[in-house]
Amino acid sequence: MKESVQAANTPQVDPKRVRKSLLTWALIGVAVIIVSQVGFGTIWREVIIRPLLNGLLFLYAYLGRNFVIAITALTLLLRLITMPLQIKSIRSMRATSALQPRIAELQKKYGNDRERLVMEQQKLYKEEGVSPFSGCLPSLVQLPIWIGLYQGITSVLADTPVELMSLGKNIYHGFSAVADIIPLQGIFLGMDLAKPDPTSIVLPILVAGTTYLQNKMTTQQSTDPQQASMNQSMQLMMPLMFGFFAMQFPAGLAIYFVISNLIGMLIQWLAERQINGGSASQVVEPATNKRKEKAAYGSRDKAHKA
Amino acid sequence: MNKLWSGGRIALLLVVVALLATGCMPSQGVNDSGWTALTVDGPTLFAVRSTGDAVALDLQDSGDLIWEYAVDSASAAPGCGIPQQGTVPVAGRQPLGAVYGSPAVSDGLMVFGSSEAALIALDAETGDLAWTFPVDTAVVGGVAVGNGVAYVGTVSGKVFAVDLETHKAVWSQPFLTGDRIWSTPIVGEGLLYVASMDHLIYAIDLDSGESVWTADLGGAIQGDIALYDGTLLAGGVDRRLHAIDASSGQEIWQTDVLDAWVWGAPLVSDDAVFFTTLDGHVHGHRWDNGQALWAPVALQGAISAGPIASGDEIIAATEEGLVYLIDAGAGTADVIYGAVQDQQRGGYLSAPSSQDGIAYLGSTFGFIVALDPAERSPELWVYPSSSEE
Repeated sequence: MKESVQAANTPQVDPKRVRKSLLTWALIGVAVIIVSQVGFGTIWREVIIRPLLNGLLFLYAYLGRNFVIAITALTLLLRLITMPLQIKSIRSMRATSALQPRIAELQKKYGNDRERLVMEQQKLYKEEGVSPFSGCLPSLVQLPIWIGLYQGITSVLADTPVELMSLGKNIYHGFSAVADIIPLQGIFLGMDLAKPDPTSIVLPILVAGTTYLQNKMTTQQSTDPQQASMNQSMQLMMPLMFGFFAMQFPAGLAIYFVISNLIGMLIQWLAERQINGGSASQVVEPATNKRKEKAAYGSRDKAHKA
Repeated sequence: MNKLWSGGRIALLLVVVALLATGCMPSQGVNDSGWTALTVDGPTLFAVRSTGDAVALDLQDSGDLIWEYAVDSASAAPGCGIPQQGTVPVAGRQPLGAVYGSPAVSDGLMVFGSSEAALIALDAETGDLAWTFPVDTAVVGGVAVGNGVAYVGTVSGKVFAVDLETHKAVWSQPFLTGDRIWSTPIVGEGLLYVASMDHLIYAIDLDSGESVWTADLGGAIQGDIALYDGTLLAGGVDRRLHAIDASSGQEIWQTDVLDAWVWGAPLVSDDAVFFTTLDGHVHGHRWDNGQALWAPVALQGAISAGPIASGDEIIAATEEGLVYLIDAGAGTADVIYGAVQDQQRGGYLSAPSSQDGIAYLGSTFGFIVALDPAERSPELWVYPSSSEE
């Protein structure tokens, strides 16, 4: 009996969490060593640029030699691969949003004591098993892919000798079909995809419109008026900025933005459907269930020890 | 926290957008201001620099400036670590645009094609603008001249013939190939030879502008080609060098498949042909049957310009700003130029030139370097010198 009371008072260390933490730090360590030895440029080229660029060329070679079809297929493929991350991101953002009323209560209660407020907020997040930053990680993972695609498309549509040199250096040695497809036929609906949209209107409007729609779909409603106002201004700013940049970018890149936004909306819809298809309580209160599971695990452990 | 995350997300997106806008993503240093394309004619070196101006330098007087055609097209956009100097536009000057191919000098004119979709002629004596001949799209390759006519290919795949005296088109309509032309045409054997990215080399009648024969190389030809003793030498994306009979278009031989694209005009010297590939290798093959003489010599950095003979030596330069002396007999290479401070002048991507044993190279940052490979310290002069910068 005395032993069981002692065990109950001792803070429980979840071995799974410890293992996860150790593994994370080990991976970070390995990554730092590799980057310092090999160099960031080489890693970026070999891990991001070359696979994306060769993948795009491969799809171009075997999907009717149409750049727009190739970029659609690649974007779809990448979005599907990263879909679990997107689902995770949506779940996390929803869980964080679900805590907003309780955060507001805390703000009301400890508004004058900033230190206490932060402590209580952290406590709440810990209790609910929600990390406000967990929605950030999937986006960060997708960011290099997004940048890599940007570079890959620019390189593949090579319009200058330097760009073609860059393409030539990044093609896999065994990719023999390249001799047949280089240079890529970059004309789509009468537009040279390597040059900006000649109308300066059509593609920028499409980019801005689809960016707006996608942002609207992905932005979570906020109960905080300040936050809601910020979201609203972002929903207008981003499409305008991307629309403006679409006037300067090669048309091929602008088309990629449109396709990516459309596919993004589709994937978002699918992801939300999948989340909503599961139990609603899983979405809103994932942590409560997890806590219960952990508590059960803890009691089993305690019972076992007893 | 939600606010924090949202703010972080906004900041992240803004950073990405800003990077995209300025082209500062980790990339391969794409530079769209052209290369420093040069040619040597007698005692004068003519160049169009990547800084947007054209110059004539006196080779008898340590590369002193004879004239400069400064324009109003200096890039004022924010760069990525490359210092951008503010410029004052010169009124009424024709922007030269990005120039990659060597200019031609003939009939008192310096002629070159540019990204400004024009063939531009400057007075070789004074540097004044003589005339411009508008073409349909940008020009990447150099200009060939024969019998007072300039020939140039465009990225729309058209070949234009322009009379240097009247600056009017010679043919009733431009010759059309199936894809973009980045290669410099060659006049010889009574024909005009043009390599296109449609995989074909065209032999064109100089007077009529009609096709005489075509040869299919099996891949796009993006670099310059060469003509020696009635044989055309060309290579490209198919990773082979081809020797083609210039009178019939029949292939004489081709090399085995190499590791990278052939890029740059080949050089024939002492029964051997020397050429370069994009992956930074110099190849030496037999002139009569195309068999390799030695294993490819690896240099540091990509190569887009063929080797040149400088006296008895062969010289090749790379994107990394290194200049090598190649031992043609043994198939070995030594760096003769390109210390860290030299590399700050940029890489050497445009076709070099040589005269009287001196090699002249134009760098991607607009410098022109004169090297004497026979000297222990080969740099003779650099334009602009540190005092002129």
